[in-house]
Amino acid sequence: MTAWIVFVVAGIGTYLSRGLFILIVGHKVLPEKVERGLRNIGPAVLAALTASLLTTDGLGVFLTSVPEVAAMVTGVIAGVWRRSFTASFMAAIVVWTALSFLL
Amino acid sequence: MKLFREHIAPAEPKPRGEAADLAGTANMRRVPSEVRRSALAGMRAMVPLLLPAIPFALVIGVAIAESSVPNLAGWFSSSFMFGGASQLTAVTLLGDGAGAVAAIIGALTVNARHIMYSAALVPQFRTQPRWFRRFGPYLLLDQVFALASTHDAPPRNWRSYYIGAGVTAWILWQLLVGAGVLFGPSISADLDIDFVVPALFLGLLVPALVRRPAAVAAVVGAAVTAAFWQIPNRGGMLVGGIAGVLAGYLAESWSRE
Repeated sequence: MTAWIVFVVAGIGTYLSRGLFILIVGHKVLPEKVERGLRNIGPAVLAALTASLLTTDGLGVFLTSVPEVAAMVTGVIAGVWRRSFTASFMAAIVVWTALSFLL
Repeated sequence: MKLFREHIAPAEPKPRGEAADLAGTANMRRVPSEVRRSALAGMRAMVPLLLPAIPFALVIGVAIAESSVPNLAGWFSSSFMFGGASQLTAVTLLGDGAGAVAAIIGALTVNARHIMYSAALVPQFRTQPRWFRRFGPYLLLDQVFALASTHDAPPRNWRSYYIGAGVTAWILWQLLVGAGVLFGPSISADLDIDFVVPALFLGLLVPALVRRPAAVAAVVGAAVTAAFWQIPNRGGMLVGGIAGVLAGYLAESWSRE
């Protein structure tokens, strides 16, 4: 019974954390300064999520290795150059696979 | 007089009777096909993002099967919580004999980053109907955020894309965790494809960085997160995300001056 209670309460908490701003201010037009700040949350958080997945398993173990760093740098360059998801992703994967095999 | 009549005459006279019905039917057909296309695009975009999550889902299933948590309750955590890392935290803590409060706090700490996702998607949700503002956050997984935050479309199409991606993730997640619970340790989850997820997120992020302040926010967010990697439960991501937002805000202010 304890497990069911934990999962239901944690589920409600998860929903509220995902919906906090959407539920409270999702229908309102916010002050211009706040709107300006909101525009940069997406890129900042997505970049932070990517860096977090690359550097740690979330349990305090450092994951990053040379092939991953080289692959990410290549992915960034290809993405900026071609402005394309496929170019960025494929460049990163090819470099990562090649260097993982070689090193 | 003729000029006046031409001036006030509607450019396209409204159809009446059967003609109006036919025109209405044609419009109705056109809208759902657009909606369907957006939903399918969301589904197609989600599948590659979820492939690397397969071993993780199986690991959660195995953790449930091997812990003292009842299998059915463990499997239902996938629909109650719908978030891999927080599910694994709750199951592991309960399996290790931790109390209910500790398990709940542990799971919610892991999910704290979702608050930032919620703030980031406020502009897209503002143009959505109330039912979707209430239902949408339930599906807001990391992968859904990555796709939705970089997808630019009219409100209705954006909603279909979001639902297509989110529901696809939800269905696959239930099946995969269920498979882990059922087949347990006989499944090998030792697939070295961990790098694929960050590479996919990078591919979504970089081409979308068309404004300089957004690029500043991304670079600072990533650098600070990497510097604080030792904070448990991906806490470095919270620090990095906040630093990135502040840096982007400052860059935007300076570029205006």
